[in-house]
Amino acid sequence: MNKKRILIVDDEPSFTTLTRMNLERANRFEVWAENQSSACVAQARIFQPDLIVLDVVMPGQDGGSVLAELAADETLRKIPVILLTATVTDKILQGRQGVFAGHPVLAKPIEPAKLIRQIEETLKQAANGGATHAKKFGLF
Amino acid sequence: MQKNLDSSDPQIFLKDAYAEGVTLKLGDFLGAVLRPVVMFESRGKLDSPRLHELLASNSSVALEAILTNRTDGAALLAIRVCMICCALLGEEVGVRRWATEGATRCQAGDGVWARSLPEWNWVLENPARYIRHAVAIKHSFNQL
Repeated sequence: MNKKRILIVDDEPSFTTLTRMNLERANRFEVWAENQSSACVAQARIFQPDLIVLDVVMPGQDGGSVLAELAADETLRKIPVILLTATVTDKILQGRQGVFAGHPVLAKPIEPAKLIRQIEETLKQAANGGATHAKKFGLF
Repeated sequence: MQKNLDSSDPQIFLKDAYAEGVTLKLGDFLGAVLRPVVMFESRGKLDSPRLHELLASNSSVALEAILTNRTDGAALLAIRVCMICCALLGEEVGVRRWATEGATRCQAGDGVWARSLPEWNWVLENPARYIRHAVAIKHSFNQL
C-alpha cells in the first residue's frame, strides 16, 4: 500500500516531532515536518504532499497567509489542508461543524487518533473530488 | 444589594478617572482598547465566565479572519480583544499567541493598524508585565 505523504507545519518542534512519530507509527503515512512557516510552500513543492497539516498562529507567516500562497500556486492548490489551532476550543468548533473558512479545523491539544481520523477522512473527501482550499479561495 | 448609580455618583467619576489614568499611563494601546472592553458594562464585573464568553466570540471572528487572510481593522481588533481577554484571565500562552498573530498581521494592514507593530512587540517582550497590569486593572474595576 502506498503511504500517503503528510506535510506538518508548526513552529513548535516538540509538537511536530511528536506528531510525526505518532503518524509514522500508524504505518500509513510518510511525514515531513517543517517548523518555519515561511518555508511551507517551498517544502510542499519539493515533498509534494497528499495533505498538509497546518498550524494557524505562527510567527513570521501565519496559517492564513500560507493558505493564500498555497492557493496561488497551481501545483499546490489542490492539496487538502487540515488546520490546527489553540485559538479556539472544541466547543466553538462543534458549533461550526469543525470547519472554518471551508477548512477542517482541529483544536489543540489534539489526540493522535483524532488527527489520524481527520487526515483519513479529509484524504477520502479529496479523492472523491471534495473541496480543497483553492476552491475556497475562489480560484476554480 | 444593587447600587443605584447615576452619572454624578463619585464611584462612576472615580472609575472614569481611573480609566483615563490608565490611558494616560499606558498610552493608546492599552488604555483605548481596555476602555471599550473593560467598560463595556460599566457596572458589571470582569468575571471569568464573562471574559471566556468574550474570548470565545472574538476568537471565532479572529480565526475566520486569519484563515481568509484578512488584515483589516475588524480582524485586528478581534485579535486584540482576544489578547486582552487572555491577559485579564492571566493566560500568558494565550497572550503570546494573539500578540504573535497581531504582530504578523498588522504589518499587512493599513492606517493606524500598520503602525501598531511596536505595541504587539512590546506585549511579546513583556507578557508577564502586561498581564500583571491587566489583572490589576481588572481587580480594581471589580472592586469599584
